[in-house]
Amino acid sequence: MTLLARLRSFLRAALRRSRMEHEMDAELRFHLDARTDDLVARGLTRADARRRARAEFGDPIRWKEQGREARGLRVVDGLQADLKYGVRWLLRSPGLAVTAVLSMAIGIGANVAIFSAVNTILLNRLPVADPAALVLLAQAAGDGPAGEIQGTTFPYPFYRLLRDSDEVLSGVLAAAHMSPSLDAGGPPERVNGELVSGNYFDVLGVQPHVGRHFTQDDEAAGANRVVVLGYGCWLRRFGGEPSVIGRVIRLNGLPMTIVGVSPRSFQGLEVGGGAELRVPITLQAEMHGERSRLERRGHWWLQIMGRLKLGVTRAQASVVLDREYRAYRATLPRSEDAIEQLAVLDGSRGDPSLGQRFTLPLMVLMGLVAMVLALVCVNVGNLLLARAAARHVEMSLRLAMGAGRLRVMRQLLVETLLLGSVAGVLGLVASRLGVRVLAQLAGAPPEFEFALDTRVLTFAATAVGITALVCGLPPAWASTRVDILRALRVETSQYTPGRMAARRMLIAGQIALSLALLVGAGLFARTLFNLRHAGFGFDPAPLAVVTLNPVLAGYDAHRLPGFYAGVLERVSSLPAVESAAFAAIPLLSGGFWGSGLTLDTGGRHDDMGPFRNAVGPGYFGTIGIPLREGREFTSTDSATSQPVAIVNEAFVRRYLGNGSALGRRIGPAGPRGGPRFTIVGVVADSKGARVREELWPFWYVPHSQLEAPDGQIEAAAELALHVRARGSPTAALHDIRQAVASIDSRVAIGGGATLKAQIEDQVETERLLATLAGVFAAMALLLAALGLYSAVSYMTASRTREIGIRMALGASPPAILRLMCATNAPTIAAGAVAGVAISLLAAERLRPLLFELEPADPATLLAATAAVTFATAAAVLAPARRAARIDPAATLR
Amino acid sequence: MAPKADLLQGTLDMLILKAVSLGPLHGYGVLLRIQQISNDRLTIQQGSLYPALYRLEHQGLLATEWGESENRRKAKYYRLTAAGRRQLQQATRSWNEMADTIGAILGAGPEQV
Repeated sequence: MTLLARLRSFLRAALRRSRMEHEMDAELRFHLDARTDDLVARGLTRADARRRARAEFGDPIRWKEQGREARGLRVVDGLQADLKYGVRWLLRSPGLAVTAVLSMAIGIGANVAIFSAVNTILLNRLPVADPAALVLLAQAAGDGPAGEIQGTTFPYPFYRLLRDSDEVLSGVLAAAHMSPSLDAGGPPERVNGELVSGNYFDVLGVQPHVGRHFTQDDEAAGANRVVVLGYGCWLRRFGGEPSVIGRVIRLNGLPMTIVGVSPRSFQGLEVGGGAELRVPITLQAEMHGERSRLERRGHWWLQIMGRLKLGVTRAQASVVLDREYRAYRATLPRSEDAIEQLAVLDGSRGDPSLGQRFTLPLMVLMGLVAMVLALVCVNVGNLLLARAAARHVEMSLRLAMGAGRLRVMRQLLVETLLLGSVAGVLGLVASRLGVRVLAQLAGAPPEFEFALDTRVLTFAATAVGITALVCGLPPAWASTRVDILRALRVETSQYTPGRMAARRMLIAGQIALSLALLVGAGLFARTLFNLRHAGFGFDPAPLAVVTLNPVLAGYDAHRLPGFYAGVLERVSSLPAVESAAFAAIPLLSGGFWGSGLTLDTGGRHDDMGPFRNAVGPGYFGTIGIPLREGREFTSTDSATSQPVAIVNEAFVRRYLGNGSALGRRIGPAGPRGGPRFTIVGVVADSKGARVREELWPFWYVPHSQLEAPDGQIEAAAELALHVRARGSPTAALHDIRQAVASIDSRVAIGGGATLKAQIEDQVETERLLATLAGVFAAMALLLAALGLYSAVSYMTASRTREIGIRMALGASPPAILRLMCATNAPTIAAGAVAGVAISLLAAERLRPLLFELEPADPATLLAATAAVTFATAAAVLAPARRAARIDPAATLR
Repeated sequence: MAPKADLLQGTLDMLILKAVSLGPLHGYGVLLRIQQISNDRLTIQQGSLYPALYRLEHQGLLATEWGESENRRKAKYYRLTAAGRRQLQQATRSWNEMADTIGAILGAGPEQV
């Protein structure tokens, strides 16, 4: 309680300072007046009484000072004086101040920028009402509580079950991804969208930016054809006009009314999620021209999120929901192999997949910028240390006059804190620019923002505090550790090897850190190179892919083959196109397909098995995958001819063993599986889904033979046209678009991209890491070189007289040059050795991010060491040559 | 008149609390009351009273308000708070214990040693 009283009293005194001073004066005056009156009453003259009263009272200045101290104001006064002095000093040496502030601002800015990303992606909760109560449902394998998460999708009937029972959840929403073709007046475009339950926005507690969100009525059967736009979509495609409410657009050819726009902060269930629009879930069948999934009990396609009832914990909810899940699962037919149990995950950060993907890269970046900041601290610390030497006399004088060592250190720390605060403000501003660049590099949608919240501000303040302390403490310590007598007597700018030892160690540390950063940057750059030039099994340079889905434009199954044949003919005859072929799964798009495997030997693989694709005639020739044996698919492989397959060499090795693969029969597993397809060809291995995958076993069937036996018309509804261009594939893409539009302009063209661009998309994270690591490493090397340069210059300057004497005694300029280099060579060597050691230790942590590269890559280590040696040698040589040019006559005079 | 005793370290606070416990006083009044109670046997350097008063106020043992003095001057009056009263009781108790102990030691005859 008295602590509170003290705090209150201190704050009152500190904040209403002039009033307190005034009252103190009045009180002391009253005392003197009253005393004088009493003494006059005892018979003294007024003048005598006054004098006597004053004498009895003592020195009022002293009492007032003690009074202020009693209220804890002395520290405040001291700090104020320190601050004033600090400002004055900084203004007197602007060069130093600017250098220090700028380098600190760079270090702090980089840290705050990366932390902003960490904050937004890993720490922030969804911008919805009470995110802490949100849970995400998932399926987990096994029976224990620590079951491994297998997926986060569920059938609609299960969702309905949860929604209608309100035991533990106060609200349950469902959402599913889709990519409809959007026709808002211009040419149709494929966009990212979501099918959502009617209560989606209600459960999340998100208010619309304009118009209205969905209600439960929108989900009723025969639902309203309504759409809610995302903020970014509204801004980009509709000019941010509030008048779009009520406008009718076409989604997959279906007229839909825009009823609202969601707020800017809301991006969906995933940070940076790219859904441009949302429609009620009940429109699924109508929009996609397919069978309704709403009554299909075994179709797993919906993400489910719930809001816990007040007072219900996640563990309690888990028990209840798992029971419901098991009961539901028991009603499914045996062939629907559902995963054992239900897990209730923390939903406050939405779908955690983005976070998981970026955790390691972000941590690595955080480590890199922390190293940059450490370098900055060393550099600024070095600068201040040099200045401390120059302020030697001042410090000695202060100490000689009785200032406590801590008091003098405080003065120096306040100065660094002042530098740090200015740098912190600049760094914060710089970080806002930095995160914009970061978002662009990471390919985030333009309206995506890295939040500037209290967490980021606290981080920035902490960074400033630590930076100031680390920069300021060693110089403060060193400059107050003085032999007063000696300092005041002896000339100050003397070369003292002992003092230099500390600086040398700092410089060696800088060299080590920058070397480690360079190694990191080198590893990422090489990884990026390796990924771009990975052994794809074909040359991606002349290729381009467009995805077509005529079903979205109203085609039924009968008209599909005609449309596709027409497109193939028209595109193949374009002068810019060498050849073209269809495939169900576009190459290197990240998508893959597996359906188990059955063999003519009776062998059976019920797991996902080898990757699979359905391709058209001439596909392998178009892509450039060499045919090893047998033949390609041709136009005679049709729905009515013998089912045929082509496999790759990895497939032969893994599943067929020795002997010719031609003539063997294979097929999918599953209820309608069986070895129906006769192998007619073997092709070379190639990558299918991702740049980072290995050369996987693959089997291909003609897409024309896919539909009938499997009944899988969905797979053939959307086909990707792969094109080998004669010249630039980018130019060919333009012609292809026009060719498709000339056949039917209502068919949207999805994912039109060159294969090179597709590869770039996949190496986005690696590109980001390589770019940023490169920038940070360059900054580090520059800082280290600058630090070394200034240190050597300083040492040279303080040895001028010594060098003069040496030269006067006959040392030649080359000898002086050698001397200066020899003094610094051990520092550089020690730094390099330490840097290599740090790199070897740290790089092991980077292993999961590297590609076809060992963390201890000798070439990278060698190149980084060479770069550091070169830069530091340059930093030493310049001042050393200056030293060698010294005129002995001038220095000795 | 007995020789004036210098004030023991740390006892000024206790005397101030005691003086104020008999009724609100301004700073000069505190001085007068201490002198009056002690029959002028204690010297207090008058100005040193004020840092002590501020300290006690800072600690929440005294509360202050501005009022008018007996000769119609504006003066700052000090009053004991509840915390101050507790503190005074405790200080008095430990002072008495201390005085007893010291007295017993100093009064010990040779037979007790």
